[in-house]
Amino acid sequence: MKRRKLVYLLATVCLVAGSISGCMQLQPTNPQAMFTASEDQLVIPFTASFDATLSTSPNGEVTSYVWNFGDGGSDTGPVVDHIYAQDGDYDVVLTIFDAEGRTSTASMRIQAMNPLPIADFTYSPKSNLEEEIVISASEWVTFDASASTDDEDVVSYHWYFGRESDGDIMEADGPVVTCRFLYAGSHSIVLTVTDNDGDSTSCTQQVTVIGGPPCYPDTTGDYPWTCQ
Amino acid sequence: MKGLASVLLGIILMGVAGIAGPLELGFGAGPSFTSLDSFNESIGAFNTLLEHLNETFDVHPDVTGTVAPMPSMGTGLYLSAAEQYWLTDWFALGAHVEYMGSSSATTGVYQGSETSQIDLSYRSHVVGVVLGGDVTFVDLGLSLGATGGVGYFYTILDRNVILQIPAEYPDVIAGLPPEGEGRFTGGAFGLEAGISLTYPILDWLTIGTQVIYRSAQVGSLETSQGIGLDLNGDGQSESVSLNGLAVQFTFSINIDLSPGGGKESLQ
Repeated sequence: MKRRKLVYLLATVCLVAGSISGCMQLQPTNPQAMFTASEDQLVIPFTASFDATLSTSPNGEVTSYVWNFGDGGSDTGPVVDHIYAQDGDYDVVLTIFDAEGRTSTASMRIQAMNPLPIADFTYSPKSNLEEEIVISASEWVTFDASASTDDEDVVSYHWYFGRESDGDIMEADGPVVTCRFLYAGSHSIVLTVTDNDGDSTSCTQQVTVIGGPPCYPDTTGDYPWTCQ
Repeated sequence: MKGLASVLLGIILMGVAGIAGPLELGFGAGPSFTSLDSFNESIGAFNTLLEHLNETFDVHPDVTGTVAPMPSMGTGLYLSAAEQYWLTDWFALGAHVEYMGSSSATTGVYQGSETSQIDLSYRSHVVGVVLGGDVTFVDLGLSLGATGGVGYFYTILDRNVILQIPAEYPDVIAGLPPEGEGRFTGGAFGLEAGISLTYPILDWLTIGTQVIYRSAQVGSLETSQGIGLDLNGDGQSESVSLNGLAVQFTFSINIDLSPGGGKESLQ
């Protein structure tokens, strides 16, 4: 009887030992990487600040923070700054390591945007008539977009002057173009410039044309003119 | 739960009906302390985030509100229903069904240009069916014994996460735990072992207390569609540890199925 009792006692001890060893064999779980970014979308160049102190680990402290900024740059530490100088979409990846060697990652897409070109133009000749800037009908006017700028290069200039009397759109390309308006009135001139990254910007100026009626009546309701 | 326990007990009772001998039906209740490690780690991450948001909006001119942290999970109610058949006066075999429940939740709003809702809730249920035995080592009226067994532990997690960050938050956060609501289930085999103190106050009634340690690890929890539980958004399913202690106060009804006498004849 005592021997059998001993066997059962040993079985119980084994169960206890098995339970405890099962506990000890538990895999430590992964930490949780989390971070904040001061910017996720901005025009270059800009500095983004990243803070990973929100990251946690159940296995003790987070011992290491490794950053990959997606543009070839990298850094370490819980709080880092990074300058984005080139436009593009970049995936920032944070990898943290805890005391158990477990890792966790978190990522965020940063949009480093190309600065848009600035469209601007002047025209001449023009006159100051009773404090109003005007040009005369049938007068050849030169439109000059060389005041337009970009952080790199403006590669195209597109002008829109409206519609001709037959309804066709009157357009021109180039940094400097000439045009003459045959009808008096206020005309909207739209300049669209495009930079080497393909981004475009437009600007509009109202041009006031004075003068007599045209030789041919405007039957379409549009303003006929001629451009070169 | 009660239905499941009743069915199991019925089956076991029918199984031993043909065996003449003392049968013991026991019931217990008490606190349980279960690891639920991955749930608590997720809660820890939420609390770190909530603390950060609270600090941020505490000094923000356009946003008001504070959200309390979530309490840890693991401590909860333990219930058990057991049946065992005493093969000798010091050794019994049987089975028991046990339940452990635990929950954690917090809710609140940050009021800025819009109302941002924070609603975080974890509620877990573990049902175990354990087959095992009891050994009585010392019986001086007050009996000291050990218990152990092998069981299957079915786990349910109801998770609800609404985490709306106010638009006024000055930064952008990466690595936020995934939002959503769902029920995740899974199960695993495990071991239980413990010690018990019992005292017979009547021929047919015994009271006592029991401390049980449980070791079980559920590898993964899934929805009914097979979607794994991903608490931290890393794309990997979480396992959960059911390791822990349960302390229960028990009472047992002794039913003498033998033709010769009651349980006192066996002790």
